[in-house]
Amino acid sequence: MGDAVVRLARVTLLAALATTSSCVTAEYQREIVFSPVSKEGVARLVPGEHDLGHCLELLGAPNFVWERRGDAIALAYASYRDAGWSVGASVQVVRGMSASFDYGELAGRSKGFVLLFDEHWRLEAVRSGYLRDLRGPIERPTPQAME
Amino acid sequence: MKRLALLLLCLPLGGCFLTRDTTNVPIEPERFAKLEPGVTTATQALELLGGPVEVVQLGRRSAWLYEHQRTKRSGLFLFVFTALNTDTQQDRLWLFFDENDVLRHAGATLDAKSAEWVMPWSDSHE
Repeated sequence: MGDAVVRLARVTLLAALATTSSCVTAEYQREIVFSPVSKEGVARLVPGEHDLGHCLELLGAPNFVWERRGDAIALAYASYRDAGWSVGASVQVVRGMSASFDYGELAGRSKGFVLLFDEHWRLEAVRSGYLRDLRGPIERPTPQAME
Repeated sequence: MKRLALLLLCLPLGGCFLTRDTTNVPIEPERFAKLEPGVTTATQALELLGGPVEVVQLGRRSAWLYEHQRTKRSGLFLFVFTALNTDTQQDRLWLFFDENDVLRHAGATLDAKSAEWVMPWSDSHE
């Protein structure tokens, strides 16, 4: 009986030391940034037929509105969801999830849809994928065009 | 004695926290329901909703953004294991004005209230 108590006391001490030193950690973290837009809603959009008002009604407010060349515009819908483990011993050795999300990075790290509208705000095309890839090819107005 | 040792063992092992961050005031549906495309002017929108957080110039036209964001974070500590969940949801309202500053289109998404305090393995916004 006495030995068992001593053993338990030693385990307690070790556990307390391990906890207070924080040299070994295991972390499971999940981050959700915004709800994804309805894929069914996007599938119902018809380029050349639907206008900006119809798209807003169907999908709600976008995350971004971008100006394109020639008075055309683009709407971007984005969301982000990630989960993973990270394990560390004094210094982090494994990290399964990227660092904490910054709203400013939403366009860079999130997946979503971009709707392209012409100068009359009529839907031209719908594209999906990572926003950073979709944002690149969009032709923005030059300073001369804005004058 | 055994119970005391067990209690001492458990004391440093467990813990949890809940936090909430809020950005801007919530968008009130009753207010933007008063907006009428083709009728409401930019001045009237300003009086009704206040200043937008962002204005995007679209040639001679413009788009205004109103935004309210809520982040709920929950964490559980158990010995050397930590579980963290962060849920960020947003209310957004975009107003599109023509070259005469008359409202043409409005689109709203009201999700901020759906942010949850949950553990990272639970279903959330699936």
